[in-house]
Amino acid sequence: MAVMNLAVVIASLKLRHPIMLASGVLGTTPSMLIKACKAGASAVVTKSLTISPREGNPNPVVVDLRFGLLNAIGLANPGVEDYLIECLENKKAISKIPVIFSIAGFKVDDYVKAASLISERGLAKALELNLSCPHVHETRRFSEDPKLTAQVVKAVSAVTSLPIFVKLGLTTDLMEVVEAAVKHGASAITAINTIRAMAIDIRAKRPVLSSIYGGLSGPAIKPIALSVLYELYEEFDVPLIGVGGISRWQDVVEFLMAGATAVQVGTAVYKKGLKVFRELVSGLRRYMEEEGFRDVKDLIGIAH
Amino acid sequence: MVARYYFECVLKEKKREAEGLFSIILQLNERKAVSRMKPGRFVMVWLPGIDEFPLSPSSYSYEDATLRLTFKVRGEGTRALASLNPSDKIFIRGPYGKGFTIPRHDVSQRGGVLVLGGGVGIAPLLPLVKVLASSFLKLYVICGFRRAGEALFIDELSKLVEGDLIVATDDGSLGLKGTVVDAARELLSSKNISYAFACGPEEMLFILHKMLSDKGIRHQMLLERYVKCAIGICGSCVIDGLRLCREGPVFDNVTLSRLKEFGRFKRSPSGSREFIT
Repeated sequence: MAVMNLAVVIASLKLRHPIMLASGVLGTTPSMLIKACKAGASAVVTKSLTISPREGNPNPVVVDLRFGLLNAIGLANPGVEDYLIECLENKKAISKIPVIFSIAGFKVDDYVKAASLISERGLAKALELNLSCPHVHETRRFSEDPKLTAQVVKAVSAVTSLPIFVKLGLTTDLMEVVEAAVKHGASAITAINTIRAMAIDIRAKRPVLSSIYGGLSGPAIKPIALSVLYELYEEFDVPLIGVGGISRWQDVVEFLMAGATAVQVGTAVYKKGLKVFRELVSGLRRYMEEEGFRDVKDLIGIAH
Repeated sequence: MVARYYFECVLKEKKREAEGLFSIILQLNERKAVSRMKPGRFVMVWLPGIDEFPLSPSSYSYEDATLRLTFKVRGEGTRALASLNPSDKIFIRGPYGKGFTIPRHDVSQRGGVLVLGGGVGIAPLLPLVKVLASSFLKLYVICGFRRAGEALFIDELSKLVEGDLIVATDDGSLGLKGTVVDAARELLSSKNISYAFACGPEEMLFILHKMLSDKGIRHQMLLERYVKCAIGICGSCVIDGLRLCREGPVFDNVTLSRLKEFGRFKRSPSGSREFIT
């Protein structure tokens, strides 16, 4: 049998295959990151970390819509310093796995402080700047204004040598925002974040989420995310990380063909469990075999 | 196909069980939520505009489509729950989690089965005691409270296990003077116990886990953590890589002995560690 290469590289981050764990899913604790890697993710993204601990929104914070998942966790996290301390306590296991630290903030300086703290500890293989949490306005605005995007990416790249992934959502000025991010030091663009959405319980006669609005993920948003990726690949020469509703190996192939170098999986972990990573990798491998691809990189952007 | 988000329930009855402890009986308009109930599983209780939190029922009936929730008033959510009146509506989703596994008969043939409850921790054990009482020959229940005024379900438990109910209070105002741990130590020295179940404060569970493990007694314990999504995605209830809402809330002795966080710390809603001792 021919040797098959599934490995991809994004800046200095080497991945043994293109399928990683998305931010926000299970990444509250280092123990779960280790578990996701053991289960087959090629890299894991932490929950978005902020400078101070955040309890997030009060319950209810999630609604299972079957065709997708609605969440409004609200960037709950123990704060970057506590998180790093806990990672250091598990240093042996953590340093062996590719961990991408996700950062969220409310002002440029928050991102800068968090980025320097994380970089100093030497546990991160990359940073992902969450500029687009759809239900936290102070964070979302960073991806709605190219000037703010430019400021934050520029400021962070001045304090770290780690690759910087910029996570963006579905916004009207997305192309301008991506241009600003790329120009000021983004090593890759992660797209898309969840899409602002809501649900009303007709018996309770009110929104289910305590914060009213949340973010929609899962199969419902896959075609939207795919079209964003496709368009970004047309417009920019920067590595793309596709995220949004990937739950079957066919979805992985579609995203690669649209132009993603790697993909992230979130909601499918809820639907299928951590075994989803092995399922996706073996599906991708089988497809490549059937179609005669020896290197996964040959799939990237092939649909253009 | 759009899922229903919640089961609508009507409060049928409310009872003050003890100091700061209440039971409410919820009438569901369909049996679905109850049909998947089993001892140790839990539901998410939603009080619109106030809070949503997990509770493991203290009894349930498939025939009547009812659930009884017993809880201690600890915060805004439970205070609001305690102030509801008959015919008020609330909402639940679930049940979630794995619940207790009833040991095979050959395990209990070798000795008695012991159920240990600390404080309001006895509530989710009641449905288990009911199942065990109908199928096992020798069943002991130990429940402990700080004082007589906080004791609950004594009558219900006496009916189920008769003379084999041991009540302990810290101040001796009811039953034995001492803790659940004291009473368990005493019982284990005189009786042959082959299996145990427990729920209560984690300090207590941790000591019991050590004691039972030292004696080679297999056991299951129902733990508590801050639950947000309850469907296994947010990670807020994770203990050493296991999600309480999916892989728990009941863990067996083999799992418990591997958990480094058990007995050490819980996590706040932010995920920060709150050390127990």
